[in-house]
Order: sequence, then C-alpha cells, then structure tokens
Amino acid sequence: MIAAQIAKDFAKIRYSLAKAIPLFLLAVVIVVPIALILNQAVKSSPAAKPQSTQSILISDGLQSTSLAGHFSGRKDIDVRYEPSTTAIESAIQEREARLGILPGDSPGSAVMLIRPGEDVADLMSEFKMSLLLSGADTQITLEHVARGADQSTGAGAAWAILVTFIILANMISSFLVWEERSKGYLEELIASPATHTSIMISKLFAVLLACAAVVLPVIILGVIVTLGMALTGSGDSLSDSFRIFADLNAAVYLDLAFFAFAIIFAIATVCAIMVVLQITLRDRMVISTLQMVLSVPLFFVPVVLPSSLFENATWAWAIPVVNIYADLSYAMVNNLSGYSFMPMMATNIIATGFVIAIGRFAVSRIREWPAR
Amino acid sequence: MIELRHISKAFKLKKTKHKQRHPQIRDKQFHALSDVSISVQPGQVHGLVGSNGSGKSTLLRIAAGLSRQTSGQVEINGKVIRAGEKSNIGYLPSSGALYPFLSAKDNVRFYGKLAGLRGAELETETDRVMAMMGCTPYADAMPEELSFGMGQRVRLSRLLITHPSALLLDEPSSGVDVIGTLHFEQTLRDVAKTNVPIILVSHNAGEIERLCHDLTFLHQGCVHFQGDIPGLIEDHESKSLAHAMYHMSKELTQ
Repeated sequence: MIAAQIAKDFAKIRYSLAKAIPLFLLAVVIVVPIALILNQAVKSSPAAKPQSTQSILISDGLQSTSLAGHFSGRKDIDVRYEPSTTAIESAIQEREARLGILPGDSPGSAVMLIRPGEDVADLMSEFKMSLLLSGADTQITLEHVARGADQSTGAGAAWAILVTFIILANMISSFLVWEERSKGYLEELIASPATHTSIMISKLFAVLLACAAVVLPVIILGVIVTLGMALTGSGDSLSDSFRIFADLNAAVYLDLAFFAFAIIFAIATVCAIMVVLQITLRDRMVISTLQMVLSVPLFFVPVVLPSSLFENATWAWAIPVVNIYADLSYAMVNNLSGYSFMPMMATNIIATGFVIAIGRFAVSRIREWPAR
Repeated sequence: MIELRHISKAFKLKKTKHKQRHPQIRDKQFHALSDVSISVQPGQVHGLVGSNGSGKSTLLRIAAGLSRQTSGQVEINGKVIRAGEKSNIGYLPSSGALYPFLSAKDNVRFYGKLAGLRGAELETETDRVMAMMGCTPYADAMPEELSFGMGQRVRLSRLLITHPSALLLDEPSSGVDVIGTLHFEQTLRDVAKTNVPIILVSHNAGEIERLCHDLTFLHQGCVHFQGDIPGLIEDHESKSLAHAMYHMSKELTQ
C-alpha cells in the first residue's frame, strides 16, 4: 500500500517536471542575464572594495631583509613583525591580516601566505610585488592556507546549491502535499481504503526520496570533482565548468551534505505533520492556519543553521525573503491562471533569481560586501 | 446499509461574528447541521437536496470520515464508525479529480492496490469494473483526453474497485451534458443493483426523481422534508419533483 502511494507520487513528480522544463528554461534565460549584470555592478561598485585590515605580518627572521624593507616605507599598510609562525598562519586563516611572509625552506627564499579568497593579481599589483620578484637573491612562493581555501567562492557555490535545493524541495513538498490537499486528492485518499498511517509514511518517504534525488547528484558530482582535484594535483586539467565545485573543499561538502539532509528531513517532517493534521483535525480552517505556522521553520531553519559555516552567510536573509516573495507571487499567479504546478515553478525561479540578484546588489551599495 | 443518526455539527464563531443575526447562529456557534438522520437500505439511492449552504456536503464529509460531527453517529451495516476509524465508504467529492499523470486504467488500478488487490486479481478487477462503467474503450487515455462525463465514470470505477459498503456522491453529474447525465444515471442504477446503498447530492431535480427512491430536503442545516418522492409530489399537488421543490422553497422564504 505504501509502495503504491510512493510510486504514484513519483509519477506525479515526473509528470510535473516534464511539463515545467520549458518554463524552467525560460525562467533561467530571463533571470541569468539580469543576475550577471547586477553581479558585475556589484563587483565594480566602490562600496565593494575591501575596507578590512591592510595589515601585513612578517616573520621576525626576515626583519633585516630587503623584503621587509620594501614595505617599511608605506604609510597605508600596517606592517607588524611576529616571532610565531603559527600565529601568522592563524591570522591569515582568520582573515585578521592580509599578507603573511615567512622564511622559506632554503636560504634566501620566503613563503607568502594570503588570506582565503584574496585576489592574488590585485595583491601583486597593489604592493608592487614585481619589484621583489625581480630581485636577484629573493624568491617568493605563493601558498594558499590549506584549510578554508578560497572560501568566498566556495561559500558562494555552496549557497547557490543550498538556495536552489531549498526552492526545489519547497516545490516538491508543495505539489506533493499542499496541492494534493487544495485539489481534493488528499481527501479522496483519506476516504479511500488506504490506512491513515500508510498515507503519512508514504508522504514522508516520497518527499524525503524526491528531495534526496534532487540534491544527491549535485553533492556526488562535487565530491567526485573534489577527489579528482586531490588526485590530479592542481586541477588545471579539469574543465572550467567544474571549477565552482572544485573551489569547495571536502569539509565544506560534508557540511553542505549535512545541512541538505537536515533540510530534507525538516521539510519531509513538516509535510508528514500536515498530512497527520489533515487526517486528525479535519477542519479546513484549523489546518490552513497550522499550515502557515508550520511553514515558518522551513523559511528560517536553513538560515540559522549554516550561518556559522559560510563566510558570506550574512546574506542568508535572502532565503526567507525569496520564499515569502515566491509564495506571494505564486498566490497572485494562482488567482489569475488557476492552480497549477507550472506557474508555481516559474514564479519560484524568477522570484528567487530576482530577489537574490537585487538583494546582493542592494547590500553591496548599503554596506561592505562581506565576501570580498 | 448506511445510517446517519442525529448528526449535528457546530462551528465556533469569531467574536466579531457572535452578534450576527442568522437562524443558524446560536450560543456563539454556527450550527451547520442540527439533528439530521438518514437511513439508506442496500440497493437504494437516496437523494439529498437543498439550497447552497444547507449542509449537504458537510453531511457527506462527516459520513465519509473527513469531518467530525459534534454529536450523533455513523453506522455502516450496523457497526458504529468511531473517530479516526476507517469505514470502507466510497466518497466522490464535488471538487476532486483524477490524477492527471496516470491513465484512466492506472487511476483505477491505484485504488485497487490501496484496497489490497495485487497481481492477476488486480488486473481482473480493474477490467471488470471499467467494463461495468463503460470505460474500457478509453482505459489507456490520459485524464486530459477525457470529457467530464467520462472522467466521472472513471472516478466512480475507482471507488467501485474498493468494494465500498456505501457510496456518497456529491454532485457527480454537475457539468455533464444531457446524454452523459443519462448514461451516468444508468451507471448508478447498475451500481445500486449490486446492493450498494447510495446517497446522492444533486441540484438536478429531474435526476433525483429518475434515480432515487426517497429523499431528504435540508434547509439551514435541518431536515425540512424526508420521505418518498411520489408522496412529496402528491402533497404539493405538483406534476414533478422540480415543481414540488419550488413550492417548498416558496414556503420557506415566506
């Protein structure tokens, strides 16, 4: 009985997605260029320039070299000398300093540490590093700090995946539970010989499996690319299209997988609770009110949980805003064109793209953009 | 046999609506149904009529276990159905539809699976029920390819494959053309012959007169008339049920 219901729900997912693909592509064609234009505007915005620390930490052992002397005359840079190599590494990792310079393994060489997400080309130009590179007795090796490398790009990718996933998960739960309820399918099912327990369990599993089916390929692809990077070394041979995944390290992927499944479970549980309420409370007004109350955690859980993980999680507010906006716009479309999965899908995607792009643009104008 | 005994249903009202004047508002509650009893014997079709908001659909939802009565009880073949208990009743709501992503046959087959049928038995029963309802020619069609009347027959097939103890039909022929309605009526007669008691909600007086043995006329949640249809027509010195109902509604508004 449960298997039959899950199979039926999956038939619905296949049917709905097939119908929605043209609109999905249309939505992408509309949203992507606008998002790219706004993103370019953010990058070229004066407000986006980093205002955080300009300090440079130089190992005590290099204090007498010409390398240290190169920075000593500059008033716009806070140069400090630090005896502990570990303290310099830590300061770079925590983004407390912009540049760290340590003695290299061989005499006369130096190792430069840059903070995660730093643009090396900007740094070289800004500090006139070319002069140093041309020096006869000094060799500079650039190294990223291994842990949390390129976190800003990685965090951006992680957020993009998470937001996409949350939207898809919301849509899946919408058409497997809310739509079934509003169209009367769920009532007919409850009145059918299907036991109430089987309906609840099958809905829980259908939403769980469907969400997992959406998010797993993305995570698996990322893990494969990450492993590929580890095996091949630099990853230069990998296609540029996978670079966004390669920028995420394994730890971030594990976090992403953890949160993705936490969200899947939250959404599936709320859907199952809704079915339980439908069966036990029965009064439509009570159910509608509780549906709204239960939907609130779905908006905020994905924001609160990962905020400590990702550097630019400060724009996580976009997720609840996106969801609320998408639902409102969907309600409007629903009134105009009748209840259907297709306008829901399209409005969700368009609303998501616009809110994130415009929100990011607005934030960059108002205050410092945290990831840069 | 299905029996609805002294069914009442009241909804609590918001404070702002407490003082509204309406015959169904008493004690800060809206009384959607008040002490309604209906008894339908196997093989009988019982008509449930009344104006919009008279409580017909609410009564069917209670009988189907989708809404809880404030008082009273539902009995199927002598067994009282308790809250949360499954009652093997076939319920056809007015707002429902076929699953658009399953063919007509798969829609019926799905309900067969819910009823515990598997393998060859499932296939045989699906074919039998669809043939009985006249759905075989379009068994493989998708719901969007079916007319409303055809779709209603498939919905009824879906219910019948579960071998229900009673059928509750909420305006099943609403929106169906004349020919489709006549076919559907014949279908219901065939179903009734299998000894299934049927409660039929309809706004079509002609359909009720042709199909039903007796009827219940609900007005503002109360039973205004209950009895056999020829008697009702005779009491109101009318030529048809439509005329008799017209006279009754005039009495109620005066």
